Amino acid sequence: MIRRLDESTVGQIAAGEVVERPISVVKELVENALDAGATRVAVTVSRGGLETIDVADDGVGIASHEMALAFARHATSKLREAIDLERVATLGFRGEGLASIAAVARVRLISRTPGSEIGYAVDAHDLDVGEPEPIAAAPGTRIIVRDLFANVPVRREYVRSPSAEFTRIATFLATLALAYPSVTFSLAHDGKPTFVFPGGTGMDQRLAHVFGAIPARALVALRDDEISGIDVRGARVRGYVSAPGTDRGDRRMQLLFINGRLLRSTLLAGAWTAGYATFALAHRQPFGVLFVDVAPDRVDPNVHPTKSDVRLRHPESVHDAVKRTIVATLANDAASRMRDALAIAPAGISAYRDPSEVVAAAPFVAQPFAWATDATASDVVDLFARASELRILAQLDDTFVLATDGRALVLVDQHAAHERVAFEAIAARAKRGDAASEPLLLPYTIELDAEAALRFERSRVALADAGLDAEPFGERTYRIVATPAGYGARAFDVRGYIDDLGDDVPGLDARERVWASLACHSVVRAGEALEHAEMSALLARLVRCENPMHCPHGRPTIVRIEASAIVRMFKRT
Amino acid sequence: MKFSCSTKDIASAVGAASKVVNAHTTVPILSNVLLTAIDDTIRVRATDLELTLEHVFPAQITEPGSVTVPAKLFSGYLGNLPAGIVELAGTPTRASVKWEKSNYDFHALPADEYPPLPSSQKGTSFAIDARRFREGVNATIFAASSEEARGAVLMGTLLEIAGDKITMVATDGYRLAKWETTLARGLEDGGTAKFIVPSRALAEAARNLGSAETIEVSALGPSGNQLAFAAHNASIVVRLVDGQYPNYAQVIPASFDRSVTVNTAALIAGLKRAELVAGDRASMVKMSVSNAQLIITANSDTTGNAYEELDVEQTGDDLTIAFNARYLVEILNHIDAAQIVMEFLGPLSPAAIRPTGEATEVAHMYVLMPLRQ
Ligand SMILES: Nc1ncnc2c1ncn2[C@@H]1O[C@H](COP(=O)(O)OP(=O)(O)OP(=O)(O)O)[C@@H](O)[C@H]1O
Ligand SMILES: [Mg+2]
Repeated sequence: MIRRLDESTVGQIAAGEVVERPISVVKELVENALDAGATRVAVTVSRGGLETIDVADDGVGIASHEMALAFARHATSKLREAIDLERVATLGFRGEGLASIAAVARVRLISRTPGSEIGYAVDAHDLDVGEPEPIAAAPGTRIIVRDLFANVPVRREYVRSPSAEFTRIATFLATLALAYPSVTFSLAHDGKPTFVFPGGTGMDQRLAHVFGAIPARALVALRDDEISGIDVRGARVRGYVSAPGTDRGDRRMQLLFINGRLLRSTLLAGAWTAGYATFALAHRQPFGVLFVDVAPDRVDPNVHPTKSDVRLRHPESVHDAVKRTIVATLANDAASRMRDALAIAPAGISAYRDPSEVVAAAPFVAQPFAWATDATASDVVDLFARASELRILAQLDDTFVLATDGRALVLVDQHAAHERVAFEAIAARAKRGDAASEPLLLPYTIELDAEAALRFERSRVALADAGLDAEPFGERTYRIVATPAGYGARAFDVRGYIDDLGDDVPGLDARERVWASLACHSVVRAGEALEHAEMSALLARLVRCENPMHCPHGRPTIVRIEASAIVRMFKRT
Repeated sequence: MKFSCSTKDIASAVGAASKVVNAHTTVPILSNVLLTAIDDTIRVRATDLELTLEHVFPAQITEPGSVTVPAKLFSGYLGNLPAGIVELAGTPTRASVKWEKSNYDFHALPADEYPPLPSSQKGTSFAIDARRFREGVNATIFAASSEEARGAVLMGTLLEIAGDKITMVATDGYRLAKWETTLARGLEDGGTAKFIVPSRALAEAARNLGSAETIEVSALGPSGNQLAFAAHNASIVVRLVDGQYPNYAQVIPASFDRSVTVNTAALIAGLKRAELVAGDRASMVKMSVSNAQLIITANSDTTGNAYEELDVEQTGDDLTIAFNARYLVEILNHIDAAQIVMEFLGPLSPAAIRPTGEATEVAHMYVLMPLRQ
C-alpha cells in the first residue's frame, strides 16, 4: 500500500536531483520492477532514451486507485515510519523516483495487479496525473517515458549523443543483471535487440557480456561458504574475481554490489586490491564483481539523492570479510593450479621443492621461488657495466631471452623489455617534438563504439605528438593516415591501442600513458621467435634505458638467477 | 598397403610435407602425413586445413592402400636413411618400415579419418613458367602484412590475371610490391580473375613446385574459393582469402618528376651503415639528391651522426626525402639488378623503386611511403 511519508521522515531523506540523464530513468524504473518482485524486466529504448524509455515487468503491479499516489512526491509503499529508514531492504525508499521522472518527461503507466481481470493506464506529466482508464494489459507494470527533458533545456544540453547515452544504459543494465541472476533481463534499442539474459540459466552469459568472453574465463568464483575458519561477521561476500595474472591497469571493471545496489566504494575496492595484492604485481588491478550482503540494519542507503553510495555501519568488518574471502579463494585457486603444474613437471624440478611444502605455505604466490628475484638496482648497474659481456644463450618459449654474464643466468622478458625501450624512445622524441611518423600508402578507417571514440578523442592530441595521425571521418569513424614510426616491420596496432586507452597506469601522466600504450602495441609480443641478432639488439637498447628494470606498466624486465642459487638447487652446498 | 621405393624419393616427399604440418594442431591426425599407394605411384599428403600439399613419386606397389604416419617423426627417421630401397607396409594402426636389416614400426591412425582432398571440380585455369613464378613470389610476398591487426586481406598476395598477363601485388599498407609477367597460358577468352592467396601458400608453392617446368593454376570448388597449383611431381591446394583487395593502382603515382639511378649494392651498403646510427629513431635516414650526388644522413642523440655520399644519375629537381632504412633495404634486397631507379614526386609522395635492365617480359616495381617528421 502506497502512502505519503510524514514530514519528519521526508526531512531525513537525502534530497537532490534524481534524474540527471536517460540512464537515471532506467535505473529508477528497473529498481522499481525488482522491488515489485519481477521475474522478467524488459527495457526498450529509442534514441538513447531521449525519445522513449519503456520498462515492462511482471511484478505485483499497482492498483488503479493508487496510481495517482505513485506519482506523488514522498509517497511510497516501502517505508512506514522514520525508523524503517534504519533497515531498508528494498532498492527504493524515498517515494521520489516516479515523481522525479514525471517532472521532466511525459509518463504513461499501465499496470494490472494479479487479482484484477484488466489493467489500467494513466498519463502523468509534471503535477498532472490523469484518470485511470481500463485497458487490456498483462499482469505487471509497464512504464513508458517520452520526451525526456523536452521542457528542461539545461538538462538536454548536458546529455550526450543518443548512442553515448545508450551505451551507458546498456552497460548499466548488463551489470545490474549480474546481481539478479534469477531475473530475465532484456534490452532493445531503436527496434534492435541488444541482449536477452534468461533468468535462472547461470552466470556465464552475463559475465561474458560484461567482462568480455576471454577475461570472463579467467574469473574465479568466490566461495565464502567453503572457506572455513573465516568469521565474516554479518557480511556475506560472493562474486567472481580475476585470478592473479589476468588483471588490468585500472579499477574500472571492479564491480561492486552491496545488498543488490551497484555502487562505488573506495573502502571495499581497497579491500579487494589488498586481498589481491598478496598475489599480484604492484600497480595491477583485479577485475570482477563482488556481491556483498549485510543485514539491512547494517547499511544506510540514505546518503545520496541518486542512492549511488551507502554508509556501512561496521565498515571495518565488511572490509575484513571482503579481503579475507578474496585471499582465501585466490590461495585455494593458486594452490590447485600449482598442484596441476607440479603434477606435470619433470621429477627433477618438482624435487627441488616438495609440493606439499609449497601448498601448505599459502599464500606463497608472490614469492614462490626465493632464488629468482627481480634484479635489484645495484645488480642492474653491475649488469650494465658489463653489458658487453652479456652473452645471449637462447630464447625460451619464444618469450624470454636467456643470457649470462658468467656469474648469473639473466632472464629478460622480451615484451616487457621491448616495451621499455619503445616507451623511452617515443617519450624522448615526443618531448622534442620530433616524433617520426610513418604515413600509410593505403590509409584505412576504423569505426569505434561510443565509449572508445570518447576515450580516443581525449587523447588524440597526445597521440599526434607521438606520430599517430587519425582524421575524423564521419561519426565515430577515423581515418588512419600515419602511424608512429620505428618499431621494425611491425605496424602499429591502432585498435589494440584504443582498447587499452582507458587503463589507468599509476605513476604516469596522461601523455606518458599514451606513450606507454603506444609502446605496448608496437613491440614484440610474447610468443614471437627472435633471431639472435634481434635479441642482442634488444638487450643493448634495454641497458641504455633510463629505467631498464621495469616496463612502463611496472612489470619487471629482468630477472637474475645467481650461480650460487643454482648451486643450492643442485644441493651442492 | 605395401610398397617399396627409393629412400631419397620418400624422404624428400615426406620432408616437404612435414613442413606444412602445424606443430601445434589439436587434431592428432593433422600432425600426420597420408601416404597413398596407387597406380605405381605414392602420393604423400599433408594439410593444416588451410593448405594441402601433395607430392608424388614412383614406387613398386605390391598392395595398394593408404596409411597415416606422424609427419615430424617419420620425416626425421627417413632423413637419417642412407640411399637405398625401403619397404613400407601399412595397416590402419601401424606403419612398418624395413630398410636393409633394420625394422621400424610407427603408430598410425586410420587413413580414412584423414581430411579428404578439397573438391576437384575445376574452374578457371592458367599456366605459368615455374621459374618466373618463383621469381614473382620472391619479389612480392615479403611486402605483405605479417599482422592480423590490419586484416587477413593484406596478409595475402593478390594474383590478378587479365588474359595472358599476371600481376602479383603485396602490401602491408606502407609499402607495395608489384610484379608482372606474361603467362605460359592465359585465361580462356582473355578473361580476368583475381585471387588473394595467403602469402605462405605462395612460398610453399614456389618451394615445392619451383623446379618444375610450368605450374598449372586452377580455381577449385563450386564457389572457386580454393586455388590449386600443380606441377608434375607435386601440387598445393590453398583456401583463398575472402575479401576485397584494396585498389592498389590508385596509390601508385601515374608519373614522377624526378629520379635517381644508382648502384644497388652501394646503396644497400650505405643505407645499412646509416641505419646503425638511425636505429633509435625509427630507422629514419634522409636522402638528399643534388648535383648528381645522393647524400644519405642519419643522426641520433644516443648514437651519433652518419653521412654517406654516392654518385648517381639524376633527372629533375633536387630533393630531400626521409625513409625508413629498413623498409628500403628490404626492398632493395629483393631486386636482382646492378642498378635501380628511384622515382619521386616530392618529399611527401610515394616513391617508386624499379630495377633497370630487367628482362622485357617482366615488370617489377615497389612503392614506398616516405617518413614524415
Ligand atoms: N514497477 C512497479 N511495480 C509495482 N509497484 C511500483 C512499480 N513502480 C512503482 N511502484 C509503486 O510506486 C511507488 C512509488 O515509486 P517510486 O519509484 O516513486 O518510489 P519508491 O520506489 O518507493 O522510492 P524511490 O524514490 O527510492 O525509488 C512505489 O513505492 C511502489 O509502491
Ligand atoms: Mg523507486
